Amino acid sequence: MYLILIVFAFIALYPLFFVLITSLKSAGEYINNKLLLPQKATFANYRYVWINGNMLKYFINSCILIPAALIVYLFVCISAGFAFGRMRFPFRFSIFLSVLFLMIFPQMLLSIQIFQIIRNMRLVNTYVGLILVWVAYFAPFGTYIMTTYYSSVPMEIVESARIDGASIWQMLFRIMVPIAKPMIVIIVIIGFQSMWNELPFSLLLLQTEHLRTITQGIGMMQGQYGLDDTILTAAIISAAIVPFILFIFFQRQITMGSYGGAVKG
Amino acid sequence: MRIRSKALLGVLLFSLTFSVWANGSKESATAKNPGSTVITIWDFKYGDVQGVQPAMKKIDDLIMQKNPGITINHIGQANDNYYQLVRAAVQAGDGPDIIMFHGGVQAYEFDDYTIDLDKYIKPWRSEISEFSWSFCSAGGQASNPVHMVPLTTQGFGIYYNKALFKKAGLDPDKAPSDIDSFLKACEQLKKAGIVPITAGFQGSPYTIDFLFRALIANIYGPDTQDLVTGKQSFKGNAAFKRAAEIVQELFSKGYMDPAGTSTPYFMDAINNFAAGKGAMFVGLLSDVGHWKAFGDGLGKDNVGYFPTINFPEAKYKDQQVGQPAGIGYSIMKWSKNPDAAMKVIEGYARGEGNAIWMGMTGALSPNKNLDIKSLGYPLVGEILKRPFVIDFNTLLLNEDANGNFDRYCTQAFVSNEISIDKFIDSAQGMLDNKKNAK
Amino acid sequence: MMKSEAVDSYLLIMPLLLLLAVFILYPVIANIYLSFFKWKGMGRATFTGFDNYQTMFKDQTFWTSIKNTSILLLYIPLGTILPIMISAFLREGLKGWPIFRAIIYLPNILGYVIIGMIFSIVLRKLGPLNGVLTVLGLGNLALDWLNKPDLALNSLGIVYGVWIRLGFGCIFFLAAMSSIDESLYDAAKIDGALWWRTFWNVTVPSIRFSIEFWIVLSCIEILARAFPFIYTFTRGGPGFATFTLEYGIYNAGFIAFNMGYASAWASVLFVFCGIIAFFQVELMRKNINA
Repeated sequence: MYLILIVFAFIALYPLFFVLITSLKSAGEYINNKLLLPQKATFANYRYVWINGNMLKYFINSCILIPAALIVYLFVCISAGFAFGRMRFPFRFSIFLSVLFLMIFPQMLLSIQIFQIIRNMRLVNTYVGLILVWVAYFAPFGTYIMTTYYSSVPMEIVESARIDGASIWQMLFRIMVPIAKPMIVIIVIIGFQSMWNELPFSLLLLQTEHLRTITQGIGMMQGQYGLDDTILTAAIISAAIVPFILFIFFQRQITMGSYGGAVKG
Repeated sequence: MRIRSKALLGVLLFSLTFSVWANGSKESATAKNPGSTVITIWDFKYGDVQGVQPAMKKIDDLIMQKNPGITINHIGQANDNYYQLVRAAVQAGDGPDIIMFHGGVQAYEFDDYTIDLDKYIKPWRSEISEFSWSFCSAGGQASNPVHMVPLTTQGFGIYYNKALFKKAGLDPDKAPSDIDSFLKACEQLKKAGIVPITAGFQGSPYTIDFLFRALIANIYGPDTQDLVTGKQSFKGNAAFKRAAEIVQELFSKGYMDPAGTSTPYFMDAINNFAAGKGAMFVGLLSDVGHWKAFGDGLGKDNVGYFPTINFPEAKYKDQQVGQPAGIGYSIMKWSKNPDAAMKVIEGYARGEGNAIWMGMTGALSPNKNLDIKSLGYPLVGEILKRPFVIDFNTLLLNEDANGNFDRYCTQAFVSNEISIDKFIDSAQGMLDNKKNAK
Repeated sequence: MMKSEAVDSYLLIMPLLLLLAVFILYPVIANIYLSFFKWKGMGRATFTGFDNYQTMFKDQTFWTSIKNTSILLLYIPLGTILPIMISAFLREGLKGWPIFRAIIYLPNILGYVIIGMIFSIVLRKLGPLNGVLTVLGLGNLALDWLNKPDLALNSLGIVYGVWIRLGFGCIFFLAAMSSIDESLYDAAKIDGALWWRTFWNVTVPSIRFSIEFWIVLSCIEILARAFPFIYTFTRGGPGFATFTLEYGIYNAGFIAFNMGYASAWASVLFVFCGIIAFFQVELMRKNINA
């Protein structure tokens, strides 16, 4: 049994390993030595990516943009999730299903109209515009997870709050959020990874250098003709550092993550 | 835990406000000098940090130096969705002053949105050939006004490594003059253990694509334009069939790089040839994969060149296939400062700026005033001796030029999925698409 | 009491619904509307009725894309069984199983675009995978995975339909299995059942809802999320071998800039998605009533 697992672990890890060793080779060495460990490890590729490739700027942009987007995302997912999961109101089920239905569509389909709408709202080249689009696109899944979680929360807690005469907003902060703490971490991680690696909408709505995200940065470096593999892999590793750190740090929470979708109810 | 979560919340709220604020301030960062005219340029080359961007930065500085009233805001856009952005800008009726276009069909689509440049180029029109100007006119018709100023001419041809030729017992200064001597050279190279043709087929089989462009130039020569009017065709043309058979022969005899399917043309195959891993290479006359890269890699006197393979069925010989304008700049109708914009474009297209452009990037400039010799690469003079025949690819529709033709090449020669006749049918289909397009 | 609850609820879901209506519902409807026009992404749109659909049904690449997409869907069973089995293994309480769980999930943090790039390098004829196979003495398995049409499509199926899903799948099913009543297993053990029988008779039925949901999720992933991966993996090639419906929309819309035509293709995708959505709804309904 162990053997099979080790094989799978190896299969999962090997591509990352390959990317790592490629990023440490010089272009000249890579031409001759594609598969094995680098004979002369060099950080020149990383230097190139971070300095020439303007990666630092993009990195900072992503670090500013993503948390801001996540706040809006959390707000929407928690509110809607709680409403669908715990409260009663007419058309609850139908609306919920429509939300799930809208989750299905690929980004490409939506691009053109989204651009027109954002342009009409004068929000092209702003983070606000991109955040709105991201939340619209990623929130349904987050809402679904929160819904299934909230629906498993015992009724009494909610009832007691209502009896206390708490307003909706007090209820939001004092009850809904603390209850959902484990789940919140999970949708933050999922949302983070989706947004960090997101490309089509960023390319469409962020058209100036100052605003680009790190994933866009990799796309820009590719240029018309693509990039040497050694530099490309260095860029990939660079962009993956933050998700990787977050992953390690929150590993336990993530892997408990899919309670929401998996458990009945 | 409470304090930590409050602090975290505080940080997050701060970054939210900061990011929103930051946008406002970043936008205004472009106007450096109050009162100066800001000219915005969109470019799909500017992002090339390795090659093109340093040259463009230098030229921009030069232009601003010479024109103190102008500030250039040069924005590079990702190549993959470049035209999507341009169309969106057009749809919005607002955008940059200057937009870079690929010459040919892609530029003509925007003729309604770019301004006539005839009056601006009049004083220096003779610096660039009419061949290029007509290609840059609306719809490619010489009788129409010019809408784009060309920055490059591009072309395709076959480079060879003289040292490796010598090693195989071939005369390094004599390029193969026809198909028989070409095949013989390949055979000798193969016997000597040298890869005859370094190639890249992964992703898109550009080696095959470019080779066809060169062969087609030999078949149709100055009549290439007739391919999309119906006067000439691929189907039923014995020379075109022979060309396809030649390409197939290069594969079946093992002359094409056996590592080709694992090698993307850009940049791996190019780097392979520049590192001396093969004898011949179907390369570009452009800002990449060209005389400069190979001269630097193999030694300026070690690189030979011939424009195409001659074969008896083809009507013409030694035709140099090219695009009269590879890329160029146009001024958009909504620009409030066309005069200033034109000064910027002139800074690129002529004079010192143009020399920097060609010298640093290796792109071939269409400007006749450029002193080729001063570049220090004897090969360039050799290449530019011949006039260009128009590249058939520039006549096709977008989806055929930028995708379908490559797919047919892969199917016919790399994965051997379709026969040569089916390939010819598909190729003819591309011509028909263009002919029937409204 | 009831009334204020309803009002509160609507307030809570309003942000989500507003965003969805503006940024997703409207584009979807606009797309369907657009499929009856000819439009270049700029300028005027001319009404052409059903022309786009007629052209599409006559287009050979359309049928190829349907075929390719369908073949990819056939990898869903494997992409479901494998994570379940791995989860069942891990569940037995092997030492260090959280580490395995984490390792298998790791590739997901890179995003599809990048994983596509990585595999476009790894699966080359002279790439690492074949290198490893040769070293292991399996040289005659070292094929040109990316350049032969059948191999390319099946490689796509295995990497995108199975490999990428493993990480998240294990987590998903492990969570599902954690809610299975242990007493069922004890009962099975008392009966003297072997691992395999326990697996099929106890584990699988207990997580039925999860399995069905996973299948729906997988369909969505293959129909509507595969494009970024395919783009960097094979560009829809060789030839048209990995050209899916989604890729066709991209080609028509963003290479040819034939927007109305792209919308026609998109409408077909909507129909597929609608079928999936229908199953999703049925699943939810069954689950609520259970």
